[in-house]
Amino acid sequence: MTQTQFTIKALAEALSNGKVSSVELTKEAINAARGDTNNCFISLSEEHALQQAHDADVQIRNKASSFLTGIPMAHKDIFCTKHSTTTCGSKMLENFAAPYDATVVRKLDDAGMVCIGKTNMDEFAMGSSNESSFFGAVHHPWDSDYVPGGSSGGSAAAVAKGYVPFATGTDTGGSIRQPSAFCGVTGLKPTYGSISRFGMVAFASSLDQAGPIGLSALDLAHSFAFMAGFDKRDSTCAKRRDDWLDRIKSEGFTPGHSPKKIGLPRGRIFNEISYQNAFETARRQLESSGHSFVEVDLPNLEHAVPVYYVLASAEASTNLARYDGVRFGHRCNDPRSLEDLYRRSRSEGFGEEVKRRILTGTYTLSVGYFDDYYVKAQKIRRKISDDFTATFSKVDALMLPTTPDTAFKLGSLNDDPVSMYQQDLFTVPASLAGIPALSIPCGFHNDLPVGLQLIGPANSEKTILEIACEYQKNTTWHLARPHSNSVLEKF
Amino acid sequence: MTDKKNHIDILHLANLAKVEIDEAAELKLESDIKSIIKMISKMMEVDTSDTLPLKSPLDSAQRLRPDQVSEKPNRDLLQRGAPEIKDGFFTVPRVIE
Repeated sequence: MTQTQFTIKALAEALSNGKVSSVELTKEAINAARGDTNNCFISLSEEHALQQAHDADVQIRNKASSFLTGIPMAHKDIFCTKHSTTTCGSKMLENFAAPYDATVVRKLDDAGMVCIGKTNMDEFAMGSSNESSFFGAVHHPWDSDYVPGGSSGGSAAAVAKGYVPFATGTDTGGSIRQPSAFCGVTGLKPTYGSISRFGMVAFASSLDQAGPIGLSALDLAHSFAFMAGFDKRDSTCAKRRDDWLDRIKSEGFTPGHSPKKIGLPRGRIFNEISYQNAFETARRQLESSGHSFVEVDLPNLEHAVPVYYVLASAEASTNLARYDGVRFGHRCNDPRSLEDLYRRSRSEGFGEEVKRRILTGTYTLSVGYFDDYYVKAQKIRRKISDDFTATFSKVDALMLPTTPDTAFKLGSLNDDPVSMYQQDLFTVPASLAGIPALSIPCGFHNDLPVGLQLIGPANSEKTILEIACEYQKNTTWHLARPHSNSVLEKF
Repeated sequence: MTDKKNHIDILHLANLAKVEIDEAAELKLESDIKSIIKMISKMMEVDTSDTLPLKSPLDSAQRLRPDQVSEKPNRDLLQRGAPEIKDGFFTVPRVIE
């Protein structure tokens, strides 16, 4: 085990004082990514990246740069990019060249970041292990026999391996937080509507939210500031007043520290996590920093997984109806009729897990079942949301485990979708309520990283990032790496 | 669960969803969907008699834009990913004999 210094903050300083150029950093990042044996990337874009790096070096020399200018990063392959394919981990979009950039891509381009490639992911973001990708499973950065988590497993593993200090992810029911916990990196799912979904391939539109995966909460604050903001092209993008994010863009983030009251949900499911010791040690660490803890009740939390899988599958089955083999995406050979074209194009283009979710969604939306399943799930969604609202009248934030256990072995849950879905137990509640949640590394169990989750009320990213920054100031779990291969250490 | 709900016609669902299920996959898929529906059905225990559905975390009406043209589409660009086009049109197998 070693410790990395490959943070955005460290790289920004190295770039601004001339210790390294963006072109040098980018070449090293691409070389390292080319040698990747964990299958973190679906595509690399050297020519495009080097042009961006060259432009970034000019901006830095001309003192026209942002905090992120010249820093290599990677996009989850769910974000549309004009310069490369956007596959969403699916055969359906294997050759899809988007006609536009996602708003997130444009914003990070405008900030001067250098995109070296697109990261692997579960097909259409449906999965908790990154094994459903058409391009093959991603392997865990600490032990290649294990999964990195999903669906943003390629992004989390790429950051953990030190190829890039930051990658984008998306989180529908935990797809940023769970792989971040498994891989020992830090990930933020912001409040629903904070970051534009324009150009982000849709899975479940009332839940999907983009967010950053990085090495530290401080880095997440900086990247979130540049990703967030109103976008008229996304009708679910919220108009927020975020002066603190505007200040980060001009001055950087200086986390404040004030004692917070943190809620610990009680109940059997919380006592059954495998890494109780690491979780409790983290709680005591936060307590020693001045935060206080109280036990709270979230009575409807245990229903979150069923509710999530009704709503997400229903939304997926409608969103994925657009893939018909006519306008874009995979098309079968020699269709005999229009019906044959639809059926065979979709059957050949979608993988097993995607088909399972489409069929589940089709079932729950069927005549006679709609009220029993879909509307019922929406009602419980409100009860879960109301539980959070009531709790946040008493506490500033909640602390939960991110996952029930460490990463599991590749292939171990493939034949048991329900057990796979239970991996999302602690992450789906915040997704259903649309509130911000982040995962930070809090130690190891059986030689694999584990994470804790901080959840806050809507638009409280600043509060949970500050608690996380305080924790990471006093601990080094977030910097632990399996071996030393970070790009910055070469300079 | 009623008897009706214990029966899942996987081929009917596949027909609705426009996907083909081969015989080898049918039994496994049916078993998987049954397990998922069983897991989902646990939420029936929750009393929601006085609760309104929550459709989106924003819990408000979707914002609408003015009904005005904001961007002129570039047909060539939009069709560059099309599997098959002819004279600027998407092509499909003949539907009218």
